[in-house]
Amino acid sequence: MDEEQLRIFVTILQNYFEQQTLRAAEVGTPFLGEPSALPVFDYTAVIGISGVRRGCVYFTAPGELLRDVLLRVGEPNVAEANLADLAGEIANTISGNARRDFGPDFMISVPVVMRGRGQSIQVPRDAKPYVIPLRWSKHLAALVVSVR
Amino acid sequence: MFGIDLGKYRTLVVSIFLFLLFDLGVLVLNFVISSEIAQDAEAVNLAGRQRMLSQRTAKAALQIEKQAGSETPDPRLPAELALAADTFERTLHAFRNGGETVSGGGKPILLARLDDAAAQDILTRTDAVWAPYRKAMQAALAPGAGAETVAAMVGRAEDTNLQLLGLMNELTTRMEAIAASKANNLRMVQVGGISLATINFVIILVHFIGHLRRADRELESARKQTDDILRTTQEGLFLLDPEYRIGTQHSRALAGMLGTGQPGGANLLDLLRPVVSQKTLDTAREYLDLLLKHEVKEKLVASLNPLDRVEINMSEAPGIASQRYLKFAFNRVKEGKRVTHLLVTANDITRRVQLEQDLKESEERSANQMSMLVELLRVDPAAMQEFLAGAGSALDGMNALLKDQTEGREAHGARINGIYRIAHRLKGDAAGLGLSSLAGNVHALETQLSELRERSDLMGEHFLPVTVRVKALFADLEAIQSVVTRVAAMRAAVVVDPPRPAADAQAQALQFVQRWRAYATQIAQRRQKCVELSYGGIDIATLDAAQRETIVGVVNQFIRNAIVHGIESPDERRVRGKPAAGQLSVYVMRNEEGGVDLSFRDDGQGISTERIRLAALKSGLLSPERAHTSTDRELIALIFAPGMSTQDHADTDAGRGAGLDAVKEMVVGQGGRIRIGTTRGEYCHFRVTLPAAAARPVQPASEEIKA
Amino acid sequence: MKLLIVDDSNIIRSKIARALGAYGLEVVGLAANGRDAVARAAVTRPDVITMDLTMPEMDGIQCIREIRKLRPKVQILVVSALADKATAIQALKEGAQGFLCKPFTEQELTDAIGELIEEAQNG
Repeated sequence: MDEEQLRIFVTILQNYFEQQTLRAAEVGTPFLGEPSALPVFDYTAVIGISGVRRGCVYFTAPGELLRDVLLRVGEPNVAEANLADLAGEIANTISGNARRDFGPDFMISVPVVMRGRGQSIQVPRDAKPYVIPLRWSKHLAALVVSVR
Repeated sequence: MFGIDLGKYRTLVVSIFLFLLFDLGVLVLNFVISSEIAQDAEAVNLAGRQRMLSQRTAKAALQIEKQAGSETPDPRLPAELALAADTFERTLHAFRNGGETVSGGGKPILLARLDDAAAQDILTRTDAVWAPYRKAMQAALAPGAGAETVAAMVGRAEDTNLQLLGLMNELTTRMEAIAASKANNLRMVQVGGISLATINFVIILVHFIGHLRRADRELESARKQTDDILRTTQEGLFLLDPEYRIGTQHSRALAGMLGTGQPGGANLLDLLRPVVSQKTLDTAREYLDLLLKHEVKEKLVASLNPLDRVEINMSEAPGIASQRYLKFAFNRVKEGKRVTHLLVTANDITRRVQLEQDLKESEERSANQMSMLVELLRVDPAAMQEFLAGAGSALDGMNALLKDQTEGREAHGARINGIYRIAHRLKGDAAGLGLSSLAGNVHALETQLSELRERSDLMGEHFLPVTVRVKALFADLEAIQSVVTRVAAMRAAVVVDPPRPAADAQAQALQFVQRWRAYATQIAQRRQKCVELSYGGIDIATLDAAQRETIVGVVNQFIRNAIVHGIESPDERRVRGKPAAGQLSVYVMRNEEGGVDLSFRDDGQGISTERIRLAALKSGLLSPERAHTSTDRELIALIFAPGMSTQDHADTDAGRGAGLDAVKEMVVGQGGRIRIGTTRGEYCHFRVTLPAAAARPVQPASEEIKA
Repeated sequence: MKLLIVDDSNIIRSKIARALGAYGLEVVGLAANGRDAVARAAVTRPDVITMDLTMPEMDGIQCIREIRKLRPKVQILVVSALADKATAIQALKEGAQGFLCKPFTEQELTDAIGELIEEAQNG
């Protein structure tokens, strides 16, 4: 996965926060994570990628971040189900836009949302995934891209 | 039968015909016998009347006698007697011989002669009794008959009365018996006919039920075969109707392929919608319409099938997108000329596609690895291991700096500098080992860092390209590691060449090496080529002056020769899958005899014997006959001949034909020898051995060629 | 069988003419653009046409539509690159009967034409 393609994911996320919350998300220094020790927060939305390149992209965020986003967009119901819905919506936004931006080499699956920090996300073991930290309104989230 | 081919219905038609025949037979017999019975009943009645008539004649005879004395005789009595007697007579005659008589109602009635022997016997006896009685009656009734004739008639009547009554009784009984037996016959015929019809019916039933059951069994067996095929085939088979709906009969494999529980009845395009692009979906609909509704040649449009390679993505477990490739093939199903359905065959071609992809990837990888291999083969394994370990931790160090999320301009600046320092050292190490492509990649990272340093608005996300490059370096190291491992395995398995001395950084720094390198670069630039020269071995300053001068002179000639004749242009090298820069590898070492061994190898196009043949012919070195019969070995030896050059016109570097002949002269002058190894398109390798300085007998030079 | 070849490439035109001429078809016309093709189809009354899709003046689809009006029974083989399957399918819906993908071999071309003619003679 080259820089252009990574940037597409990052830009989609930034646009999402910018447009929905009118508050920019700050992107931290991207680094390479160990497949066995990747960041996983309360809610994780996973998008599978197949095609010429295979692997997955996931967005993971703590409940507080999602709750604040909901409140900020005027949604008072911050029950768990709604938080999970939001995580799913963010992932949908990522996969929907990515489908448009990437060529046919990338086949992007429908996102799956998982709850809980204990989850282990299955990523290809033989490649170091990119971890792109994201800070929005003091909360830390991350986008992890593991594509061979 | 009937001139019509009744086929399998022949038996049925015959059976039904027989059934009708039996019924009709029974009906006709029934009619005939019934009418006979009716006639018989009439006859029985008439026989009964004969009893009555015999009594009436007797009674009338007596009454006539009684009134004979009275003065007012009843005039009706003689007429009554005459009528009764006449009726009796006619009826008797009709019974005996057949003929007409009158019925009870006075109408004439035709009677058949009684065939029964017993009846005829009765009738004969009756006639015997009746005839005299009748005569007497006729006499008494004649006009003017006297009282004595009447008395005679009455006497007759008294005599015969009981006799006639008995006979007529007998006749009636007999005829009733005949009628009863006929009724019996009729019942028999009816029973027989109905029985035959019933038997026929049973035969029909047994025969046709058998037939039907056999047909059912055949159908069932056909259905079972179809079921078995649909159940076991690995292909997804189904019919598609013009509304793109999947038929209910489909192979079991289909559900698994499409990842849906019940494909039957579903719309194929709806099933595909989530997994293919909108464009593919639209094209697919158009394509199906084309096959269903347009007059095109099925075979000639197959290449337009947009579903010949459909990727299906399914989430088997969270985060795992399993992807498979399906190939759908469509064939028209026609009724007459009309296309009613499409027979669709879906195949899982995942394995094939993956093999293709793997092949492509491995081809790309091996092309990369080949060039790396060339670099790596020159590096001492121990030094390589040390380098790899160091490089690994260098990259980890860079990643750790990236991972530290401290924000702010100063923190970013420190990060850049930290990564830069590590990169710079890594580049030096890589270059030192001759790992030029790796060094190049690290250099690109340095450039990237320098650009970042310029930015005033530095933020975390600007490090994205740095991270990408670091990751690429990790991949480079991994690739090197895998090649090194394989090379080590190969070296262990086959001893190819004596291990070469390390082209270590120290050796690269020697002054004479720098000079060779500068010389090589200079020539390469003039010829628009690109070369890299690596050196391994001893410092030639340690050799005695004569050896040293020979080595330097020979190497200079080899460099010039290699660049001019051997190394291809960068473009051509790329086409051949070689690194753009031609590789010149020089080794000098002492041998056991105290002499010096020189190895000079270039990875250019090798020696072309055809060009030598041509050049030798042109320059007159070989006669035309010799030129055509010379072996490769003889031709290659010619490159050392004076005045020999394959270059068409002279320039600074070559073409004067003074070069390799000079080498030969120098080497032979020292009592040394030259060996050449070359493979067309791959390399040219000169090995020169110079004897020890002390022992320098003049001996003829020998050229050995292994080509 | 009279053949009209429509293609804006000189090379392709002569390749088709050579191959199908040898196959026994009478080449009655060559056209390099759609407008010319329609005119030639009207004049030469071909039985079979090979048709490129991307051409100057009038594209192949428009051209097929026009020629269909003139010669409803003509057999048209679209000879085009596979870059855009949708366009090719569109052309077939407009009344072409077959499609041959560029680049093609002579064998593929004669096979395709054979298929086309066989059907035309049967029905």
